[in-house]
Amino acid sequence: MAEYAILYDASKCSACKGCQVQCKQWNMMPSSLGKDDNEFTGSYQSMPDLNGDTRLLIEFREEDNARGIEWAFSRRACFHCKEPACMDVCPVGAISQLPDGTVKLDSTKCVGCKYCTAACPFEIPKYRDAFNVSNKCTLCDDRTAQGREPACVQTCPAGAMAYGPRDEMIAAGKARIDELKAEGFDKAELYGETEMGGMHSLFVAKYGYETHGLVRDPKAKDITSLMAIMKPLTGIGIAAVVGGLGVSFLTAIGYEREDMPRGDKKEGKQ
Amino acid sequence: MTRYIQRHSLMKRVIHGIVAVSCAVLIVSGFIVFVPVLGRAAGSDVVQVLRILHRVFAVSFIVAPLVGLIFAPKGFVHIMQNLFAKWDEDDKKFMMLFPKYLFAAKTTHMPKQHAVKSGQRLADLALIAASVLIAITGIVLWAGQYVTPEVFRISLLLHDVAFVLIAIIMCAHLYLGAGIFQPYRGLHRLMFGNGRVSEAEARYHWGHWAEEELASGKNVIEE
Ligand code: SF4
Ligand code: SF4
Repeated sequence: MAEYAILYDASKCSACKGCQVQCKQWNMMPSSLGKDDNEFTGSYQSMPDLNGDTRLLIEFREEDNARGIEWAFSRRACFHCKEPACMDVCPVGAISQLPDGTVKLDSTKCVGCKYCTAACPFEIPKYRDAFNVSNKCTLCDDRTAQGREPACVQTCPAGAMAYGPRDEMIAAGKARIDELKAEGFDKAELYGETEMGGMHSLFVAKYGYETHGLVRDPKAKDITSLMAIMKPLTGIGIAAVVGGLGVSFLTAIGYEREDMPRGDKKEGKQ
Repeated sequence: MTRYIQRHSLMKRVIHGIVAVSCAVLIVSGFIVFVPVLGRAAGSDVVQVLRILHRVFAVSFIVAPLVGLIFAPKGFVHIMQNLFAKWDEDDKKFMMLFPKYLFAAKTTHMPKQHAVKSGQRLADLALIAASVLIAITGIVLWAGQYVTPEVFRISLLLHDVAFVLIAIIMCAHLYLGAGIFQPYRGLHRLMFGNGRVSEAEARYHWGHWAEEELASGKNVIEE
C-alpha cells in the first residue's frame, strides 16, 4: 500500500482554526466551556499547547520585522513519523503503524503510562485525564479507511491542507517552497521529508523551521535510548549475579561448620 | 539448654515482611512494564491490573518503614548507627575475604563481626539509597500529568536505574539472607521466624556482637 501524508502549507493557512474545531468535532473531543478555562496565551492562539482533549492546535507566532508584523502559523499535531519513538517505548503495544504510514494510538489498549509523551521529540501525546489514556492524532484512520480525507483537511477553507500519496505531497511541498523562495521568502523549507525517518504529516514552513517552532533534526529523546540500552544491561547484570551466586552455591554444597561448639553443630548445618 | 539472642524485634520483622512482600510484587509487576515485549505479550488489561497492583504495593513499600520511623524512632536511630558504624580491621578483612568466602566457603575463615557485617552495611546502604530514589521517582511518575515531560523523562530513567540496582542487590540479599548459601542456612528465621539467633550461630556470624550481647545479657533467652 502506498504511503499517504497530509501536507500543511503555513503560507496559505489563515489560522481560522477550522481544522482545530473540526478535529474535535469528528473525534468527539470536548472543548472546555468555562470562563477563563484556557490560560491566556498572549495571542490569538486558543490554548498554550495540545492537551488531552485537543489533538490539533493552530499556533500563533508573531514577529516584528522589516516587512512589518508577520505571523507564523503552525499546525501542531502528531507528525506520524516513519520511525515513531512513541511506538518503541509503549509497554503494551497500544501504538501501531498502519500500512499507509499512520501512527495510531489505540485508546482501548493504552494504560496511560505516558511513556510515549516522554519519548516523542515533540511531546505530542497528551494525557487524557477523564479516560486515563494518552491521546493524539490518528490521522483520522477511520475516515481514510473509507477513502475520505482527514477531517481537518476536508474542512480547511483556505486550501492550506492536502492529503494524498506521500510522494505527491512531497513533490507539491517542494514546488511550493520554490514558489515561496521566488517570492522572497528565502528561509522557506519543507519539514518532514526526512525527519524521524520521514513523516506522514508534512509542513511548508514559510519562514523556516525555527520561526514555526519546528524542531530541527529531531531525535527520540536521549533518555529513551539510554533506557533501551539499560534493559539488556539489566538482563546481563542479573544473569551475571545469579550465575555467580549459582557457582557459589555449588562450591558450598556439603559445607560444614567446623568451629561450632559441640551440640550446636546440628543446628548450624540445617 | 540453648542460649538465644533476640536479634530482631517483632516490629522490625513485621515491617521487613511487609516491605519484602511489597518489593516482590513491585519487582514482578514493574518488570513486566519495564520490558515491552512482556507487557505486549500480557496484553493491556493485564498490564493495567499490574499497574494498579504496583501502586497499591508501592504505598505499603513506602508507608511501612515510615510507620516504623514514627513509632520506633530509637530503633531507626539504632539501625542507622549500625549502618554507619566505623570500619575496624575485622570489617576490612571481612570485606577482603568475602569474595573468596562466597566461592570457597569450606576453606575460608571469616573474622568476627559487629551487629551488621561490613559487607551487609554496604549492601544495605545501597539498597536504602536505591529504595528512596525509586520511591521518590515513583511518586513523580504517579503524578505524571502534573509534571513536565522533561521531569517525567528523568524520573523514569532514575526509576529504572534504581530498579536495576534493587533487582541486583535483591538477588544477593535473597541468596544470603534466606540462607540459600549453605553457611547461612537458617538465617531466614531471623526475619521470618521469631527473630532469635542461637548463641553458636550468633558467634559464627557476628562474633563481636554476640560477645557484647552475651555479656550484657539483656536480650539473652535460655530455652
Ligand atoms: S510525532 Fe511523536 S507521537 Fe507522533 S508519531 Fe512521531 S513520535 Fe509518535
Ligand atoms: S500512554 Fe498509552 S500509548 Fe502512550 S506509551 Fe503508555 S500505554 Fe502506550
